[in-house]
Amino acid sequence: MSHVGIGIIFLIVLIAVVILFGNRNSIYSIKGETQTLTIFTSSNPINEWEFSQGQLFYLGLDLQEETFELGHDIRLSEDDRLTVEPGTQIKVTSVHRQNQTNVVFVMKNDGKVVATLIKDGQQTSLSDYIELTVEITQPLALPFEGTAYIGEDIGTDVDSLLMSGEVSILEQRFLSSGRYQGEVYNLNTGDRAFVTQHGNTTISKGFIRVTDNESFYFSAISEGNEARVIRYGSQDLVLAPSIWSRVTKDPNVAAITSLIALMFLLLECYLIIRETVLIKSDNE
Amino acid sequence: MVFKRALVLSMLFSSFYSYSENLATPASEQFSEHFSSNVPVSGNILVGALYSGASISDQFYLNAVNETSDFCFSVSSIDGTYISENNYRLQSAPDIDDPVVPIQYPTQFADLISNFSIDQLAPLATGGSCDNQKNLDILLASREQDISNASILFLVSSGRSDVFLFLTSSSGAKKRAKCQRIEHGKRTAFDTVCEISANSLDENSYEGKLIRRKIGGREKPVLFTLKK
Repeated sequence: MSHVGIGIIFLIVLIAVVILFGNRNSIYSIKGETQTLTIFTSSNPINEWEFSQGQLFYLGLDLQEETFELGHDIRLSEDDRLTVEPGTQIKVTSVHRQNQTNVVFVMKNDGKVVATLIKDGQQTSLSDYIELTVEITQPLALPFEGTAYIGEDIGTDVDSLLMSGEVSILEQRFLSSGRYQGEVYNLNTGDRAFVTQHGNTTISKGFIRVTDNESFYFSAISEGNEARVIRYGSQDLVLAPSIWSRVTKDPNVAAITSLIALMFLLLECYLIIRETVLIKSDNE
Repeated sequence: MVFKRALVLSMLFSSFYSYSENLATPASEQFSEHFSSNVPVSGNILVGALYSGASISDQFYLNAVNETSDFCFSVSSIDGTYISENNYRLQSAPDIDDPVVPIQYPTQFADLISNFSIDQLAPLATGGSCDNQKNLDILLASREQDISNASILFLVSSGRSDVFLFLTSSSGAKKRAKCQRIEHGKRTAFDTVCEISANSLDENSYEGKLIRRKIGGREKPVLFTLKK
């Protein structure tokens, strides 16, 4: 009987260790309002954003041209089409002045094609660096996939910030592919947030929705093992689920612990009844 | 006490360099440098210009050109904790065959300086006095004596703008340096590194134009002359 007891205790400890320290990837969902966001887009065609309005700036095509340093400024008309090349680094910044919101897309890809412009029936590949300033007259929603840096870390000359947001962690259920809601952290104004896996920034999927407000809405989800937040320009905060949240929030773990507790309760009742019966029979 | 230490260090450096043919020495006995958690930043946009190199130390060298005699030499760390600015004088005219001259640098913070990597410490040598820097005549510094096959780095305080650096030779040939934002760590003094191969700049003098664009607009360009 004593061997059985030790075996049960060992089994419970083993289950507890697996629950607490077992490797489970979490999904980080970051959403909120920001004035700036930088995405290193992946090769997914979802990043092929198309525009047919706005003010476009691009560098010249030949370094020796007189206009190379000055670049070219052109206005896109409804018949024109600018298609962004997947794999481009895109920084989105909203600028709100005198009740008018403009969104500036700065797109970079060193030495490679950033976007293709079709204007007056002519197709031109624009490389290296372009800027597109779009006046927001109606809401604009753009999906993306890539490594995303939300907000800009505070410092001199920074004027576009993350305004508010939250990081919620969806943890993987024990012995199941389902997810449950773990901790939720609020982001401060001026934070810069991104998700990493063993130190490398992970791919996020998400979208931005720009309206004529001062800032725009964003939502991004990434799989990783921690979210990093740069606060006050230099302080690096790590947001990761506590191992104890697995005990308190995972429904599967809660069910297992309830069952074990019930089992012990029944065992305790059985022992009390058995002892009572034994004492009674001894007295008789 | 600090002055005495600086003087002793200065004498040590003088004796060390007495074997060198040429040496750039501080014009004043009082060596001006500051180290604290947050020293005031200069406000300059072009903060450093140097040859990259694999080895780093607390020693600096100057790639002297023909007309070099007096120059201003400043050093800033990326995190804004260290800054120095001093007037210097070359002891003798530069040698065309061996233009790399050691810069006597009697710092009290040698260990600290040695810990900054090549893109974390910005030395800037400019012709003339530190009090008169209207025309930026950039001379290239380095942190090691061997500058063969090195790249030239320009360290820029961009003010969170996108930076483009163009160099035009007197014959009209135009080159573009590759500029990249430093994304991580504390970036108080500078935040952008522009790099160009030294071998691609085969003329002695280039007119430099540093263009910055921020949120769809152009900032005032910085003009300078690069002498190599």
